[in-house]
Amino acid sequence: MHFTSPLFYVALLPAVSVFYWLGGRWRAIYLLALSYGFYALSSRIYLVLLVAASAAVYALGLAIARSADERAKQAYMAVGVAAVVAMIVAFKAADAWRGFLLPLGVSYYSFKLISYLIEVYWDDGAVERDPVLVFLFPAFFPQIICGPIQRPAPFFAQMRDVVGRKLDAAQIETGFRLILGGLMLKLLVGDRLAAFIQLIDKSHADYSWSVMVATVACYLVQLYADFAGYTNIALGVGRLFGVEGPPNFDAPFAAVNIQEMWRRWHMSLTSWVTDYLFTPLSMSMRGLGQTGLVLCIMLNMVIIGLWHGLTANFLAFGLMHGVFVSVTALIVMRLRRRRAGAKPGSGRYWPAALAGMVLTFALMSFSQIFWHSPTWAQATSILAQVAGVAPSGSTGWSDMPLALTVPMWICMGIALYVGAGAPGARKLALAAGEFTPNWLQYGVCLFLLFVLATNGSGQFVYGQF
Amino acid sequence: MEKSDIVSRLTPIFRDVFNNDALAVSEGMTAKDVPTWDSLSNINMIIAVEKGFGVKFSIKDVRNLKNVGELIELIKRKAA
Repeated sequence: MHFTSPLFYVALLPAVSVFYWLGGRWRAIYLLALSYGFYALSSRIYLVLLVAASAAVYALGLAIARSADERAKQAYMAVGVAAVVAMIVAFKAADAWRGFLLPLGVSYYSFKLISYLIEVYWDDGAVERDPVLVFLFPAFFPQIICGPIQRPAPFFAQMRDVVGRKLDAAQIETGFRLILGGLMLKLLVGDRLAAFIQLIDKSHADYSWSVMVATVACYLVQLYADFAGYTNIALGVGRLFGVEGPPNFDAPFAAVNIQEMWRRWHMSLTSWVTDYLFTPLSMSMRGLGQTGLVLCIMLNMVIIGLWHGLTANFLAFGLMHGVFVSVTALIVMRLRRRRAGAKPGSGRYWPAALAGMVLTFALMSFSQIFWHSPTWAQATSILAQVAGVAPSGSTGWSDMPLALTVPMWICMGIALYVGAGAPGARKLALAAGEFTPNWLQYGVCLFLLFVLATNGSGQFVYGQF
Repeated sequence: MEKSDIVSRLTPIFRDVFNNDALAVSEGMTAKDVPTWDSLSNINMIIAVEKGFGVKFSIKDVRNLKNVGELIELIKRKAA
């Protein structure tokens, strides 16, 4: 079941009501049962795997915290992390090479389990003795399909809080607003862009160079609308159960360089990789100077690429970003050194910032050719066409129906605006709030959703990982 | 080593690593207070502090630091 299916929302209302009707500890137990039920709708066998992995991690967490010997702690942590990594690699390999279907959310919940083990290893106090909370942490259904990858400490703290208090109307309203905004971004904007891309994908060589360049830009914008829209829905559903998940996007299209882009794009994954891979790795390689730094960045970005799947395309995507980020990091370090004496707050020179945003967007879109294409052959053929090496077709903008191209440009504009942090929107909303009550604003949004939603597949791009 | 000694030796290191000649080191300071303090400059800072004070940190030491005050305590412990 996906977060765009009407049945999901029919079931959500009673599910939330029962949650708040129950008292205390029963809420956590009920949420665990609900999450396992949701998982069982996808696969019962893989549910057994999720429960077994959670049980192993729960036991290992206790063992790490209980052990007084540093070596034993390290061994328990290493065994747990290695087992979870082996599980995810095995499934990703079976998926890439044998066409196996991945267990629902395995990429997300396995990263949550690893973070719990490492946190307990770093600090005994991070151990959670309540099995219900530890089992619920990876299984929490709003975050199982496509994340965000929450950290254990804030999740446990929030669950403890929600089992001990009454329903919070403001939190429910925020949740509802996030779901509504997410559905609009995903269904009204993302799915329209997806329809355009699907058409071009069928025979990309037939289209003119300018259509192909716009399509490549569309890959990135569509992915943003799809994934950011989904994340908002997931965050909203989580809020209904009292859990505030971490954000995944922070105005990525406003980033002035690729390093900044990665701090604003799929943040729950990049911060995970920074904390549990980059920092320990760069600490152990700190004797190697800049070579060590570049090696760490390359490995970091390759892991981010391969996390999506063990294919040559994702490897190329990771390597490309390894080079982009390394070069940017070295340039930024030099520039900062030169500017060290400048007065603080001298600010960014806006034409340079704008040029940086355009270049960052172009580099990110360019790498999306590999990310988006299902095969190596398709990626290289699109690359050759966009680079002007291979001839483009004759089907231009004037040969395409306006009913397709006009919505595409409008949706591109909306997604770019939202993805750049929606400048001025807060002011506008405050001004509008003075003469339009909340119910009217929500009503208009619901009306737009009802009238404008496409008959899309309702699939999420990030649901496949 | 006294806390004030550590702060006065830490200040030029921080100013150099975070490229800010006006940076004033305080115990409550965190990465959020310094715009140029990111994951990359964090590693550079650790390396510079290790060199400057002649100490060696483990990943565990560094991960559990909540603010500069805790870094100062860590240096005090390691340098003792």
